[in-house]
Amino acid sequence: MNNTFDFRRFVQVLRLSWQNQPILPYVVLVGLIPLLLFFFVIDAFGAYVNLQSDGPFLMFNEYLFICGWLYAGVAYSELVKLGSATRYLMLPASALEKWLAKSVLVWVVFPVITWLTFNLVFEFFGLISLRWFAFKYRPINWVSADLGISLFTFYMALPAAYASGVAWKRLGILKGLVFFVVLFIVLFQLILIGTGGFSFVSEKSSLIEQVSLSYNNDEIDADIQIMVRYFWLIGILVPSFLLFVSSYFFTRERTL
Amino acid sequence: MIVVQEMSFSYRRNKPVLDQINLQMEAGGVYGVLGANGVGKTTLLHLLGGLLFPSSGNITADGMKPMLRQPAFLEQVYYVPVEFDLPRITVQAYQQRYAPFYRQFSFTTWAHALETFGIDAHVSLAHLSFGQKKKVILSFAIASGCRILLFDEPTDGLDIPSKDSFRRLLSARIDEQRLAIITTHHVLDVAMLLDHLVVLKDQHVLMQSSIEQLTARVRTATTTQLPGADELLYSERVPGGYHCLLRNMQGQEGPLDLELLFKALQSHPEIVQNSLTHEQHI
Repeated sequence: MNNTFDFRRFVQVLRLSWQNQPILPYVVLVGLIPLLLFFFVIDAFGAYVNLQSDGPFLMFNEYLFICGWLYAGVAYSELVKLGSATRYLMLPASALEKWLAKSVLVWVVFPVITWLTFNLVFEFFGLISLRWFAFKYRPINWVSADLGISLFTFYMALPAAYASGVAWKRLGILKGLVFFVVLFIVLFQLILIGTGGFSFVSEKSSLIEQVSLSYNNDEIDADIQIMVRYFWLIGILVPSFLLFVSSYFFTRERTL
Repeated sequence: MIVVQEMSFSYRRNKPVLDQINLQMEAGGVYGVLGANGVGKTTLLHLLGGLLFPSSGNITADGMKPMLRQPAFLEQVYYVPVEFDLPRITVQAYQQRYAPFYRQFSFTTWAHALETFGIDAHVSLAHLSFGQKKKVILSFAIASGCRILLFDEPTDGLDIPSKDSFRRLLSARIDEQRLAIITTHHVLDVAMLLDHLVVLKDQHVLMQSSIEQLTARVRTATTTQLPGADELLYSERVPGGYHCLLRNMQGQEGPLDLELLFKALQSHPEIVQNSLTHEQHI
């Protein structure tokens, strides 16, 4: 079938996909900056009192989730209109090359751009907060376990965003939104079952608490630990992976 | 070059748009596909371009199956659709983005075509009218170097001089290695280009023939009185007389009005078909 791969052509497709990528996620990315600054200000007052805050990191998560999932959802928007879909499908490249190019943008490039944008805003706020509030957030630890958990949750839900984007384009905004909410709730409930639920009232951050049972908790029984890992594999990773792979078949089997 | 064997296609179950189609198209030709609205002309182009998959039967183009959309196949096929949605970039940027995918792309032909159509390469596609955008796409198709060019209503939106420019540009580009397939309702716009005709009706190929074979069998003439029944195949009343499709009994040479032939085939298919030596009919 159409699964040939040529690196030179892949680079061409990647460049074209970059040039033709949707603008909406970038509009949201920039549009959320004032909101991000506003939350920094609000959180800074609390942090100033408590002398510590996970606020910026949690805001990064929300920022990445909103922008990244939106990007994943509209990544295939050019397949919606007859004209652009024709041009995309007739482009002389294999389905594998086209799919990989989109995937690299969704899974790597855009999250990195989001991370860089967030850091710029964060550093900018650091400059003004010193001047205005005589306060500066401590640097975010970008190699913590929290980041791993956050990225895991983000990437796990990307396929759901893909699927909801397709549903949105096929069924309309409202049904697509319903589809996304249902799919996301299902995935989220699976996480909760796997982790035994979580509580916001905790010494740890809520994110750590959400998934700590399977990844960070050494106190539970070894057999349960194995069961939980199986659950994560079968209940979360496999469906997510299948949804991700289905986006390849969506490209390959798409007709007008 | 393109072989279609027993090919059927339907959008909905038990409602075929095309049923058991057989076609053979060779390089060096310009094929016109005619048919009434909804008969499946665009669908046929989509199937030939791999944008739709046949329900049954086979299509091969240069030995490859279009539905596999192999890069080697896609490099050789350019499809100009009726509806297109171009990015908001300049004409030049469009060429820079897409030309690298076509190894045989001719920059000279591209520049010549744009100049012929009067398109400025530095202008944004967003600022162009529908007709101007069409000229850009047509220019790209002609310059692409693809061996198979598929045009769906190529003259839609073009002004009269541009239609002539399109005909000249395409005829200069079609050689022994290339094939163009044109579907149209405006057959007069492209009649001079065509050397083969395919007529679709009721899910089938009603007629496939070269223009040369057609002109050897039938001719058109405008007369003041209706000719005899042995010669007359179809007529239309026009101011001052009749526009007639006639059997070419004496092997006369002359232009054939394809529009009149099409109308005759639509209204009296059996009578006209019997007068034609055609490669295929239902």
